[in-house]
Parts: sequence; structure tokens; C-alpha cells
Amino acid sequence: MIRENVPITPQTGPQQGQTTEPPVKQSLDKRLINFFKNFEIKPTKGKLFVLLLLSGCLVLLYASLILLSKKPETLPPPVQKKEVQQEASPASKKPDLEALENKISDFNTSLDKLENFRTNYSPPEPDLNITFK
Amino acid sequence: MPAFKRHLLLPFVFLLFSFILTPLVFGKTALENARDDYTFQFTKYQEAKTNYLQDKAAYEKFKTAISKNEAFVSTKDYLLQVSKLYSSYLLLVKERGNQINWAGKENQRDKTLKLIDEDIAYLSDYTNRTKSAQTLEELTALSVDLSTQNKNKTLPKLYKVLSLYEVTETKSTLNYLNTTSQDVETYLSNNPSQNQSVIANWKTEIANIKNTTNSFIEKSEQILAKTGEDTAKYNEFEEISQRTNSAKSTMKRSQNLFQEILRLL
Repeated sequence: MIRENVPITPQTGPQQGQTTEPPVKQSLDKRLINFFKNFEIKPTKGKLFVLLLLSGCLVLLYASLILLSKKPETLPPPVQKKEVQQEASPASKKPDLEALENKISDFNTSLDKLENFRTNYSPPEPDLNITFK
Repeated sequence: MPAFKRHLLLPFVFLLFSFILTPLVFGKTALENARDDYTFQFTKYQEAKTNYLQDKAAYEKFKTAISKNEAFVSTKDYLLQVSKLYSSYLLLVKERGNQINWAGKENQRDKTLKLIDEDIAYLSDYTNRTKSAQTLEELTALSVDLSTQNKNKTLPKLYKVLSLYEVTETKSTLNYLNTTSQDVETYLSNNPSQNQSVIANWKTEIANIKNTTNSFIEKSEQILAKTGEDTAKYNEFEEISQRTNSAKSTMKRSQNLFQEILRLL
């Protein structure tokens, strides 16, 4: 096993009174400390934990933000709506009546969306009388 | 520990952009985005106008080379902003046209798109010419150019486009009313009701609405037929708009009638 700044000597086992520290762990610690030193970071367990926690939170926030902000581009098909309503009220109306209700509801929505183009889309009137005395 | 801070800053910047961009990308329709852009450009236009008026007043008062240069810079900025304002407006109108059901009238849709695109192309060229202007006098001439274009070409084309929107949308809604009321009548014939007199009155009311609406549409189409190939005058557009909006108001009366008939079924 090669260690940094340690001469290569034959392994003869631990001497009496010496602790048996695993050489591999020591080497990794040193390497990690050197790595962080190179990046001018003085790591503590607390800071690393906070950084890790923050990154996790950010990823979760971003994912939830995308999921929450996604709106269905079109209304769910009326057939699905009917199924839900049927489940909710077992003594429900006939399916063709519910289909009719949905059609009427869609039509009423389209009426509500009608616009007056003359007032809602009147062109801008910027001042283009650019003169200097 | 600057490096440590830099590492922390990156996720925050990422988060900030996510907050700003996500609703824009996922939450809004193209029409809503176009409307927001127009509102934004209008706000910028007002700011540019304020600056232009201030620098213009300063130049007219002091008449120095520096004040003239400041007036040049703010006037240029103002004209560029006017161009952006018009472009965003035209894009908004174009996007609104995409919401209309053009079934069977695709040639008219293509005509409206062509007319709007022509003006967007003019504005693009106008922006380039304004950017390359070097003197205040050039900018004055450019403002005349835009004003003339607007008065003689853009607005007449726009009135034509909006007239087509009015008529087409009203007609497609009448078709929708026809199919919806037909569905109700089919249901009624398959499921006879006890309230025959109410149903008979409902049918006559709906028929009246359809006839009145159709009459308004026919009048608006007559006026539309008299307009130019690619242009319309403002008073023509106004007359068309009055008729189509009367048609729309008439059709909205059917909402209560439909609710009424649903309660009977």
C-alpha cells in the first residue's frame, strides 16, 4: 500500500502499544482535505450538510413548481367528467342527458368568451409628430 | 470563503430563473403571452416617451450640441419602442386570430395572416433603418415615414382583418348554437316531456334568436363585401362591429333559455 509522504517499507504488522488504524481511511481523509483545500473550501460537517440539504430542497421545489404550474391545455374530455359525476351520484341522470348538459355548458363558455374586437383590440396610437423647434 | 459562497449562489440563481421562467413556459397560452408582451411593450413605450419629451424640451430650451445629442438618443429609443409596440400589437392580433374557428374559411384566415405579416416585415425593416440613423433630422423623417405607413397602410389593413375576425367568429358561434339547439331538440324527441307548451315556446324563442342573429350577420357580411380587397375604412369596420356585436348579444340570450330547458329535462 502506498501512502503519501510515507516511505515504502515492508509491512511487518503492528508493534506492541501501537493502534491499528486502517491505512486506507487515513489516506482518503488526507486526499479529501487536500481536495477541499485546493478549492479554498474549509469544509465542516455542518456546512456540507446544509449545502446538501439546500440542493435537495431546491430540486424538490423546482419539481413541484413545474408540476403545479402545468395546466391542462384543453378541458378534460366530457366523457371522463361524466364518469366522475356518475360515480358521485349513483341515482344519476341518463348518460345522454349528461352529454347534453356538457354540450350546453361548452356552448355557454364559448358565448362568454366572445369579444368585441373594436374595443378590445383597438390599435395603439403613439405620438409620431416628432418635431423640434 | 468566496468559493464556498459561489457554490451556494449557483443553486439560488437556478431557483430564481425557475420561478421566473416556469410560469411563462408552462402556465400561459400563446394568446396570454402575446397580451402580456403587448402590455409590457406599452409600459416601455410610456417610459421612452417620457424620456423623449424631457430631452426634447431640454434641447429646445438650451440648443447645445450635448442637449441635441441627448434628444437624438432618446428620440431614437422612442421610435424603436414605438416599432416594438406596433409589432407586439400585431402579434397579439395575429394570435387572437388563431383562436377563431376558421372551418371552411381557411382562405380568409390566410389573408389575415398575410396582411399582418406584411406589416410586421415593414416594422422589422423600419427598426433597422432607425437603428442606423445618425442625426436627429433623420429621425424626424423616419417618424413621418412610420406615421404615413400607419395611416395609409397598417390601419386600413387592420380594420379589414378585425372585420373578418368579427364576422367569422360570429358566424361560427351561430353554427355552434344551431348544433347545440339541434342536440336539445333531438333529445326532446327521444325523451318526450310533459311540458309540451314550455318546450314549444322554448323552440320558438331559440328560432327567434337564430333568425335575429342571422339577420345581423347578413348585414355585416354585406358591409364586408363592400370593403376593399385587403383594406377597410374605419367607419366600415365600425358598422360591421356594431352588427356582429348585436348578433353576439342576441346569441347570449340563449344561455338562459338553455338553462331553463335543462331544468325541465
